[in-house]
This record gives sequence, structure tokens and C-alpha cells, in this order.
Amino acid sequence: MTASALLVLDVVPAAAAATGTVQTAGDPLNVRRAPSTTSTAVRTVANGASVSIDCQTIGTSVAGPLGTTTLWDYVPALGGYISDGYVQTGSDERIAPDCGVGSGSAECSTGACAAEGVFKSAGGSVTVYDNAGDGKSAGVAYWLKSGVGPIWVWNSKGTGTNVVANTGAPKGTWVFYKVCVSDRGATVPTLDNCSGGLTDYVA
Amino acid sequence: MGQVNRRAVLLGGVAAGGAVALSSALPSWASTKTFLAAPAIRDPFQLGVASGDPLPDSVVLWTRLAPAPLNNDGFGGMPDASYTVDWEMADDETFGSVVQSGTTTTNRALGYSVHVEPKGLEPARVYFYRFKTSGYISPVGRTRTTPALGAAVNQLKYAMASCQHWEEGWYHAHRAIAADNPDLVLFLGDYMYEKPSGQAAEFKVRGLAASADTTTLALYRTRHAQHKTDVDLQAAHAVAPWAVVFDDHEVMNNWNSTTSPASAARKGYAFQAFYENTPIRSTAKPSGSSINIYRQLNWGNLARFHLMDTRQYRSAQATDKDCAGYRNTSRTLTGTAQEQWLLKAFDTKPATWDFLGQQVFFAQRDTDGKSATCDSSNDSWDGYSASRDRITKGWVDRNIPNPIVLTGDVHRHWAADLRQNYYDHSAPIVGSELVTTSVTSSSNGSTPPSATWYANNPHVKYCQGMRGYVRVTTTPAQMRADFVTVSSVWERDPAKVTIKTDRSYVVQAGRRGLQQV
Repeated sequence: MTASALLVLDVVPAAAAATGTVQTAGDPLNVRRAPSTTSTAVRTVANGASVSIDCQTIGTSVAGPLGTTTLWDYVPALGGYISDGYVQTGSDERIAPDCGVGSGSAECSTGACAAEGVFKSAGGSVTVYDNAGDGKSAGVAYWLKSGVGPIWVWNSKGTGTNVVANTGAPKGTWVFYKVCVSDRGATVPTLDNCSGGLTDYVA
Repeated sequence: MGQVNRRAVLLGGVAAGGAVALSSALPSWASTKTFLAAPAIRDPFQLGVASGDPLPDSVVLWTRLAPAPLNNDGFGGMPDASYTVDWEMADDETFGSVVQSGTTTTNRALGYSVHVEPKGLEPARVYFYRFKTSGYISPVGRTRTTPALGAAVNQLKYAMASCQHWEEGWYHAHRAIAADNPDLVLFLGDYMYEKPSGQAAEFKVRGLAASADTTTLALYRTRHAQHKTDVDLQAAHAVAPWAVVFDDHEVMNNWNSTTSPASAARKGYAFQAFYENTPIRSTAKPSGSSINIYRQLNWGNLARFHLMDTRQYRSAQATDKDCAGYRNTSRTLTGTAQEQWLLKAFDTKPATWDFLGQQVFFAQRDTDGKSATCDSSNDSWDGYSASRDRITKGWVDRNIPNPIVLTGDVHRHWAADLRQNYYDHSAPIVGSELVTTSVTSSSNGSTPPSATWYANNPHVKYCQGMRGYVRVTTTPAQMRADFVTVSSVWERDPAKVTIKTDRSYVVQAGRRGLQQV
């Protein structure tokens, strides 16, 4: 091998998405903020619509017209996730990479999705939604490439509100985040119902 | 999803014109690259590079592919595929003069770790190395081979460090080690901890991404990965070859021969993750719940390192302060095989200095100084004093010229001289011990030894409770140890942190005992 064999290539995984067609009994399909049936429905998409799927992830199980599955498809153009049980993709297997591909993502806290966290790759911001009047705060904890974390973005404004914060992570770098609910007033917050965590990238 | 009946669809698709069906199902991102077998990834070199265990003609080169290092499945964001990794070594940092190169592969079973053991290198040479995969190129590391066996060497400068709990501080010590530009770095254990810190919030500067106790291979892999995201640790690895041994927390606290030992399965997970994340030779690949990490490292005619494992083969801990147990001659800290290996090495004297790199405190620390009470730790060599006696006698009887024991574990700097009978304060000094403090792990709550304590243990010269590391500069004439301290590991800003040599000792070759500089 010569030295030139190790030249740096300007490679970023192709953002070209897989495509699918929404298939319901005829009704519009809910688009969820995060891959959970208890996550907020942010809009609907019509039966027969063609969707561009950036990535896929495991969420709550859904029995759709195409079968029962825990697979969810992230459709950035719709601002959220739809169950793969309602999407004709030509395959029961994965047709897109795991979520965290640099076009945004979201997770729910565990349980009934009392907290939602959305990561926007454009600009690298985090939005924290509080969905439950449980007397606790919603929070997103994130870690950065520099070895720093967790940095918290809290939402203590109450049910139905959201808080946006910029992570400050440089373009192209990763952000690992978890969505939690917590007693923010405590000296050391005890973290409850944190999601498993997801790595996404600043575009 | 596909059609309602997946089996019918898949079988039918393959049977009747499968090429068309598969082609249409193949997502565009899977076919856009020339490396067809492995899906495209983001920059996988998030954990830096490292090298280790140098020989006169070889050194281990290490990296681990992890574009998303904190993912809790332990696979670092790598798709389930085999990846080809190219490597090269050069005389210069810009790789204008490549001396060796090659290709290896890694996969899920290896945790996407990469170990390369090039052969045929020149002795006593500096090399630069880097890796490439999937179009990405790694940071550049610098390493070196050892001088040839018996070759004359003017100087060896090495750093020794231990105990770096992730949460308990910033790795300023590693930044300083990198700046020292050492020839070699010894890490004497507790590279990671199996559990979150028990310290109060004000003594924790960061948190674990997966805070559960490491009871699975995925958790050990993720824990190691998080440590290697630290830029200062990456810098220290990239500056020189390391020689790494573990202590207890790489598995779990006091994981062997105690009342609550780790299960065989857990040891297996811990050893596998240790191997994957350490620039160590394939001879140390674990086999189930055992791993062979004790080994020698020679530096020409100047120094020989005996890197030891004081955890895996030890006899059960004696009851605290049980003198009969502590002194039972059938008990061992090293195991018989390792003890015989060490004593056999003492039959030869290839180098001026013999450094025993190991984990737990070697010199006696008996609080009341009375031999009848055994007022000392059952976990350290005090709790296995017959084992210590055999090794000390081994180097005394064989006239090892300049034995120095190197130690970690206890989160404070210590310096001590060694005797065969510590209760006899006029007994001859037979060696010395350098104990490095922790990089970050807390010693909150410990108090400096009292004047009475020192009077009971006059062979102990120094104790310092701050964080830091030890820098050792060895020449044919003397060994100098600089005990370096970090003013605060809770302050992140390097500009607000003072790193200084708190105390220095030398040992003159051929003369026993520490002399304060």
C-alpha cells in the first residue's frame, strides 16, 4: 500500500431514503412524534400516500393491516414516526438503517410517554415536551463527543408545553440523548423512566 | 412491511424472479458505496487510537470502530457486518515514508475492536500509525519499539497511572502525561468502574450514559467506550505505547476470592471487554472466565518490567486483622504459577532496574506497628504476607540489583522502602515502592497519616491525597520518581488547574532506599 491509499474521503452515509406507501383501511394514519402509540399525534397522513423513510427503530407493538410489528418508520417530511404495520415497503425486514442517521429523531420516556424529546439535526437542537400532569419535570439528558455529559434540558412548565435548547454540538458530531422524567427540585435528580438512549448527528 | 403473509411473499419472491424482487427491495443507501458488503457508516474513529506492549520488533496497534460510542447495545452504532480496516505505520507524522501496512477485519464478535501486531520493526524506533475504513481515516498515533535485548540505553521516561472513575473528575493527569512525551505509559488498574460513583453531587463532574452496574457484555463495552471518548485520555494513548494491567473494578469491586465473587459469566464479559478495549497482545485474549495478562517487558539493558495480576489467582481474603490468616504460608496473592514465573525471571539480570508493575500496596502498613495485631489491610500484600515474603526473598536471594515495586489501587501517592521484616526498623532496606495516586477516583474522607503512624511505619516516606500520576525517569545511574499532583479534577478549565511535581525521590543504582530530592 502507498501512502496515498489512505487519503481521506469526504464520505457521509447517503441520506437517500427508502420509500414506502401508507396502507390503511381507508382512514388517515396518525404520525407520532416518537415511536410509541402513546406519543403525541402530530398530524395524519392519507391512505395511499408515498413516504420517504430515513430510518427505522423499535417502538411499541402495533397490529396494522400489513401485520403486527414493533418496527416504526421515521419520515422527516411528516415530522415523526409511523408504524411499519401500515407501510407497504415490499419487505418485512429492515429497509432503512437504525434511527440516528443525521436527519433528526425522537424518543419517549418509558411507560406512557410522559416526556418526549426531539432531536433536530439541523442546528443540533433538543425539544422537550411534557405530556403528563404528574408533578414531575420532563428532561432530556445528552452527552457529547468531547466526553461531557449529561447536560440537561428541562421542561418544568407543565403539561402540554415544550422547551427548546441548542446542544452547541459542532456540525457532523454526535449527540447521545435520553428522555426522562424527574423530580428536578431534588439536589440530585433521581431519573425515572429514561429512554434507552439514541445517538444522532448534527447536520 | 411486506404483504400480510411474509413467508409466502419472501419464498415466492425468491422462487419467481427473485433478482427483480430483491433489487427493488434494496434501499438506495445500501448500494451507493463501493464497499458493498458493509453498510455505510459515520466516522467510526470516535474512540481514538492506541498502541501497547512494545517489543524490539513489534508493537500492538489498536482502535475500535464506534460511530455512536454510547449506544447501549455495546456495538457503538456499527451495523451487523464485517468491516475491513486498513492500517499503516510510517517514520513520519505525515506518512510520507510508510514502512509497513496491511488490512484486517473486525466484526460484532470483537465488539468492532481492531488489534494489529506488526512484525519486523526496527528496535528503539519511533513510528506513527493510523487506520482507515469505509472512507474514514483515524487520528494519528505515535508509538515506539523497545531497544533490543541487552542494548545500551541512556534513559527511559515513563508515566504510571491508575484509578480513573469517569464521574469523579476530569482527566487532567492524562493531558499532562501526553505533554510529558513519555516513552511508555503504565496503567496499573481500575481503568473503568463497574458501578456509578457513590460520591456527593459536588464531587461528580459527569455521568455514565449507561449507569447500571456492568453485568452484561454490552454494558462493559459501553462503559469502556465512554471512557475512550475523553479527549485527554485519547491524547495520552496516542502519545506513546501503554502497558495495561487490570485491578478489581474492571470486573467488579474485589471480584475474586472474597465473600461475594463475580460469577464466571461476568468475569468472561469483563475480560472480553478489557481485551477489546486495551492495546494488549492476542496472547491475552480471554478464554471464558480466565485471561492471562501477567507478562514481562524489557527496555534494553536499562529496565525490565514484570507486569503482574494480583487479582485472578489469589487465595481467599483472610478475615480482617486475622494474623494467622494473613501469615498462612499456604496462601498466595499471585498464584503458584505466577510466583514461579516471577522467581524464575529473577534468575536472570538483563537490566539495571527491575520494576514490578502490580496493583495493591506491597509495603507493610500496620497502624499500631505491633506484630500481634495485624492492624492492616486484608486486601493488600499485608493480608498475604507469606506470599510477599517469598517474592521479596526471591529477589534478595538472587541479588536482583535494583528492585522497585510499582502500585496503584489506593487513590493516594505513597513512597516507601521495602524490608523483609518491617517490624524491625533497622532491618536492611531491600527495595522501594512507588504508589501512584488516582487519575480521578476519590480519596474523600481519608486523612493523612499521623506522626505516630509514620513512627510505626518508618519505611513509609510520603503520602499525598491529591489526584495525579507518577513520572519516572530512569538512567543507568539512578531512578527518579516525580509525584505529580493536579490542583483540582472538578475544575474543567485547564487554565484554572495547576499541575506540578509535589515531591521527588531518587534511588541510586546499586544503593537501596529512597532519597528525597
